Amino acid sequence: MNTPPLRQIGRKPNRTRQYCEVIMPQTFQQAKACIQKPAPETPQETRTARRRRMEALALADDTILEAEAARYSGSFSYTFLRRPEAGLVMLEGRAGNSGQRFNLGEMLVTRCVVRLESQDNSAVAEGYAFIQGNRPRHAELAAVFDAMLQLDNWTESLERSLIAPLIAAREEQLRKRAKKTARTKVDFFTLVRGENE
Amino acid sequence: MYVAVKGGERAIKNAHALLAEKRRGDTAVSEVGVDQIREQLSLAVDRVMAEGSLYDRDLAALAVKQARGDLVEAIFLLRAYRTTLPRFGSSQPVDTAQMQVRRRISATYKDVPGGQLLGPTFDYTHRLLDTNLAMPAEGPAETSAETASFTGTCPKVLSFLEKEGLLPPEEGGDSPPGDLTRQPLELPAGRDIRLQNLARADEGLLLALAYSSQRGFGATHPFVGELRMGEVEVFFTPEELAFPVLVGEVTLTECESVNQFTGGKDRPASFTRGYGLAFGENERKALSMAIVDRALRSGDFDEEVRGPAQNEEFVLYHSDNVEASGFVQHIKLPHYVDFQADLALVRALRARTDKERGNAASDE
Repeated sequence: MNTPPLRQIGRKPNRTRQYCEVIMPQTFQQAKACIQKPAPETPQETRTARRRRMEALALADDTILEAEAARYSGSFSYTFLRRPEAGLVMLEGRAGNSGQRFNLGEMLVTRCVVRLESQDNSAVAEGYAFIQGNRPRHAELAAVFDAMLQLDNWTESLERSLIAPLIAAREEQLRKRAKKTARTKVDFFTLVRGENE
Repeated sequence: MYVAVKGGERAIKNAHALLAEKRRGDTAVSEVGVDQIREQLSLAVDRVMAEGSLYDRDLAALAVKQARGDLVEAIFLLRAYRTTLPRFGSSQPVDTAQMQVRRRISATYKDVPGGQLLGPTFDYTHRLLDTNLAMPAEGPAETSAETASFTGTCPKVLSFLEKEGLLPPEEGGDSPPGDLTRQPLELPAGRDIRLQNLARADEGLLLALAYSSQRGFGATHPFVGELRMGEVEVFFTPEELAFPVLVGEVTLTECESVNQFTGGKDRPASFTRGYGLAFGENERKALSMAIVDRALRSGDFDEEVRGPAQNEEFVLYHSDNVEASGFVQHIKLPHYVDFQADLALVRALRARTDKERGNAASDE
């Protein structure tokens, strides 16, 4: 498949690179400062909807994200607030799953934050992605879609063409897994000694 | 004291080139891919992730390849790699009650709600070498038989005992856990530190300790209340966002043991429990961990410490195979100066004894 690199879509490559460098945060503090915190009055249902979409994007097959992104080429541009970067998240567990919290071990995660603008500059949003493993391209695409899905221009169409099929695929995956496991269900029976006497 | 040595660059370089050649083996045989290791030697990958304390199948598979299949060496590689990465934060505690189980058994209840699900197990195999595996196969045979309805999740077995009051629920507040990767181990350690230590501990050591405890050096011969393995979703609240996001799913193995009872005049008799949790399909490790966790709780139940498995200092200070193999293996590195010192000392002692003997002989 011959899709242009996403970050060049909608802008001349040179200009994009220049723009990136100007706003690329140099330190963590700067990065934090230029990332808008979600407004406290964000309605709960909006947040829940976003969480659900981010979940679908995180668990998605990234070839699907790549193909879907190609369909929207030219309709937006974006810059990185955080370039895709691999790091660690410490996994916690609980003794007996309900008691004292403890550190189980770390997992590899790729994060990416983008600032996305529609082609006519009428709408702007920041997209976030935290993806398991070292998957820079997946994280970039997921952050782009997280941003797009916050903008009214695309929410509905992407929900239909991308999110709903991703959720259905995930459910199918879980169903298949459960079915294979169910086939190994056993009924042990206890032999009672002397029961026929 | 260890005195550093210099030199030998060329020999070291050549030794590493020879290592690379040995790693590749016979070039007439096709090279093994990291993806093949990840998919087909998945239990080696799981062990490396668990003891390397870093969940990533690709990195662990690469480490296994680089280490020529030496898993302790691969664990070392993963531990070293993790120190190069920033930490984004901590996840919410994983909820194993929501696990999409692929294996779940209980040795305490025959008819356990949710059923006994054997999953992909070595149990009940005959342990006969399967010569068919030496030939390329067409893929696994389809399993037959229609299946009972199963949604993927099961209730926790120990919750039934808890409801009856026969097993006290796990205590411990919501305080953030201590972290061995940030603070040195101090004794006495809390349960949080013990569980972290055991989760990354050497499987061989835990197995031996658990076995010793079962045989009488610590007196825990528990029932397996529940053993489950499957996928758990990981949620993480980034500091830039005010809500938790799903990062992905990890495979975990969890063992909850039911152990002999405590109680007295003022407390009704009840069972006690041990807990094991490990990355990947890691059944032997999770079981051993639960037994050793319970053994280390002797203090909680006023039990006499009689075996190594109950000795916190012994277990926690010797459980890490990266530390252990580093310390044991460092003695093969040049110790020329220390040895010269000892040599001189022994020679001097002998010279003195010889002289004294000589003097005694001349006195007679």
